Amino acid sequence: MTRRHGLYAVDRALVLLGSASGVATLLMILIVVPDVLARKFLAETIPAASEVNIHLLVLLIFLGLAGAQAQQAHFTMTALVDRLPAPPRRLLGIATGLASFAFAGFMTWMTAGKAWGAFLRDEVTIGTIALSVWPFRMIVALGFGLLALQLFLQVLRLCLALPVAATGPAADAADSGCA
Amino acid sequence: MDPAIVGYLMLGGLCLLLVAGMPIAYALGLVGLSGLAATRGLPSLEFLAGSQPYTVTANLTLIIIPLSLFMGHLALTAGLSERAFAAARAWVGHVRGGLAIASVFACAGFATVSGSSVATAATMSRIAVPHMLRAGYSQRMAAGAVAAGGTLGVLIPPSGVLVIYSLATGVSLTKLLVAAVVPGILTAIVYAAGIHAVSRFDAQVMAATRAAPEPMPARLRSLGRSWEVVLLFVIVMGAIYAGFATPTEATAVGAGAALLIALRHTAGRRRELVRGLVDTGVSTAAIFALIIGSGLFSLGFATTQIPQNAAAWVGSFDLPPVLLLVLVLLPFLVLGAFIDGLSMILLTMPTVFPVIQQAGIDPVLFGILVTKMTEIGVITPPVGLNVFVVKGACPELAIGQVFRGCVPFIGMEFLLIALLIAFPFLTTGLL
Repeated sequence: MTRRHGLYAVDRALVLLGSASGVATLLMILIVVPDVLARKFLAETIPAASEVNIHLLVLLIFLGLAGAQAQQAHFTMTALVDRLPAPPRRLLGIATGLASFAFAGFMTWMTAGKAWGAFLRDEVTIGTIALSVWPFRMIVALGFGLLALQLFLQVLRLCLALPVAATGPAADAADSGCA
Repeated sequence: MDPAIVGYLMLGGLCLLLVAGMPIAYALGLVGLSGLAATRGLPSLEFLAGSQPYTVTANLTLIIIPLSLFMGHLALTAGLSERAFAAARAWVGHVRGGLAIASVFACAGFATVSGSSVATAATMSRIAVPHMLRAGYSQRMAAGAVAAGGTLGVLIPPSGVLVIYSLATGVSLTKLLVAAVVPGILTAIVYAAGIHAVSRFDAQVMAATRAAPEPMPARLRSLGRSWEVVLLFVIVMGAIYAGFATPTEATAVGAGAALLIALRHTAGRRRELVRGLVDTGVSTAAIFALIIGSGLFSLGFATTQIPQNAAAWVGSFDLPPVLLLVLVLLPFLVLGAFIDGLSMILLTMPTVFPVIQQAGIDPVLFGILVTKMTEIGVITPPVGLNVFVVKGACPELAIGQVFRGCVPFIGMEFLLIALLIAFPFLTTGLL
C-alpha cells in the first residue's frame, strides 16, 4: 500500500463506521412504531424504549462525526474562500484545519475525562431502567477522537499538496455505496 | 476581562473563522470554548465542555432529525416524487406556465415527506426540469420554479428548520409544525399564481403552453397513483394534530410507513435503501455537530450578557412590534445569502430571541417568519444553495439563468411575509 493510499484508508474506515451508525435509524423506527401502537391500542409501552432510542441517537451522531468530515459534509461558508487563488486557499485550509483539530482534540480530552468519571461512579440513567451511561460517554469521546484524527490527516494532505477528500479511496468508497 | 469585551471578541473571532472557511460547527465550538474560558475560568470550561455534547444530544425529541431525513430518502427511492409531479402535471400542465406550476405543486407534495429544502430541490429538479426544457420552457422559468419550489421543503411539515428553531428557542415543535401548514399551502398557491402571471411576459413559456388538457379519468388516475404521498402526510400531520402521537413519534411512524412503501417499490434495489441509511447517518452527524457547536457558543455568549443587554437596549426604544419584527428580520436576509438556514438560526437565536420575547411577539409566528427568511436565503446569491443544487442536477443550465429565474419568487416571498405579518391568524389559526 502506498503512502497516499494509507492516508485514505483511514477515511474509508471512518466512512464505513459512519455507515454502520446509519443502521441506528432503522432500529429507532423498529422501536418507536411498536411502542406508539402498543401504547395506543394496548395501553402498554415497551420498557426502556426512550432510553434505548436516546442512546441510539448518541451512537448515530458520534460514530458518524468523523465519516461526515471525511466526506466534507459539515456545513461551511465558502463564498469567499472559493474565490481565492489556490495558494492562499491552501494556507487558509491548513490554518482552519489546525484550528478545527485543536477544537476536536480538546473536546476528546474533556469528554474522555467525563466518560472516565462516569465509569468510576457507574453513572446510570434515571428512568424505567437504570442504563449505564459510561459506554455512551466513551462513544462521545471516541467520536471526537476519530474526528480529530480525520482532521489531522486532512491537514497533512494539504501540507503534502494531496486532495483533501474529493478524490482517492474515500471518495471512491462513497461513490460505490460502501460509504 | 470585561465580559462585554469578551462577547465582542467572540463575535469578531467567529466572523473571521467563518469567512476563512472553517466548518461552522467547529468555529462556533472553538469560539464558545474560548469565551467560556475567558468569562468563567478553566474549571467551568472543563465541566461544560466535557458534559455538553452528551447532554445536548441525549434528547429523545431530537431523534426526529434522522427519522425525517430517512423518510425523505425513502420517498425519493420509492419514486413518490415522480408520481407527485405526474399528478400535478395532469391537473395543471395545460394552463399558462402549467409545467412550472406543476413543479411547484409537486415540490409541495414531496415537501410533506421531506424536511429539507435542498433534498426537495435536488429531487424535483431531476424530474421536472428536463420535462420543462423539452416542452420548450425557458431555462430561467424551469430552474427558477424548481429552485424556489424546493424551499417548500423547509416550511411544509416535517421541517428540519422548525425542529432546529424549536431546539434553539424552546418553542413547542407541535405548535410550530401545525402553524406551518397554512403558510406552506399559501406559499405554493402564491408561487403558482405568480408563475401564471409572469408567464404572460415569457414568450418561450407562452409558446410552450399549447398542451391539450388531460381528460378527467386520466387526471383522477394520476391522483390515485400518488396516494402514498397523501398517506404519509396524513399519517404524520394527522397523528400530530389529533394528539395521537408526538411529532417525533409521528415522524417515526411516517418513516416506518415510508419504509414499507419503499420496500414495495424497490425490490432488487435494496442498495438504494442502504444508501439512504448512510446518507442519513452523515447528514445527522453534520447537523448535530452544528447543534453541539452552537450550544457551546450559546453557553459562552450568554455569560457575556450581550444578548440580555441587547434585548434591554432594543426594548428601551419602545418600537411598535411590527416595526421591531421587520427590523429583526432584515439581518436574516443578509445572513441568509451567505450561510444555510440551520446555522443561521443557531447563530442568531441566542441574541435575537430574547428581543422577540421582550417585545411580546408570538414566538410561533416569529419561527415561521424566520423559516421564510431561510427560504429566501437558499435562492439568493452568492450562496443560494438551491440554485447550485438545481444546477448540479441539471448541468446544462446556466447558473445566471437559474438565479434570474428565482427573482420573481423572492418578490413573492416578500409579499407572503407581509401577508403573514398583517394577518397573524394565517399562522396561528390552527393552534
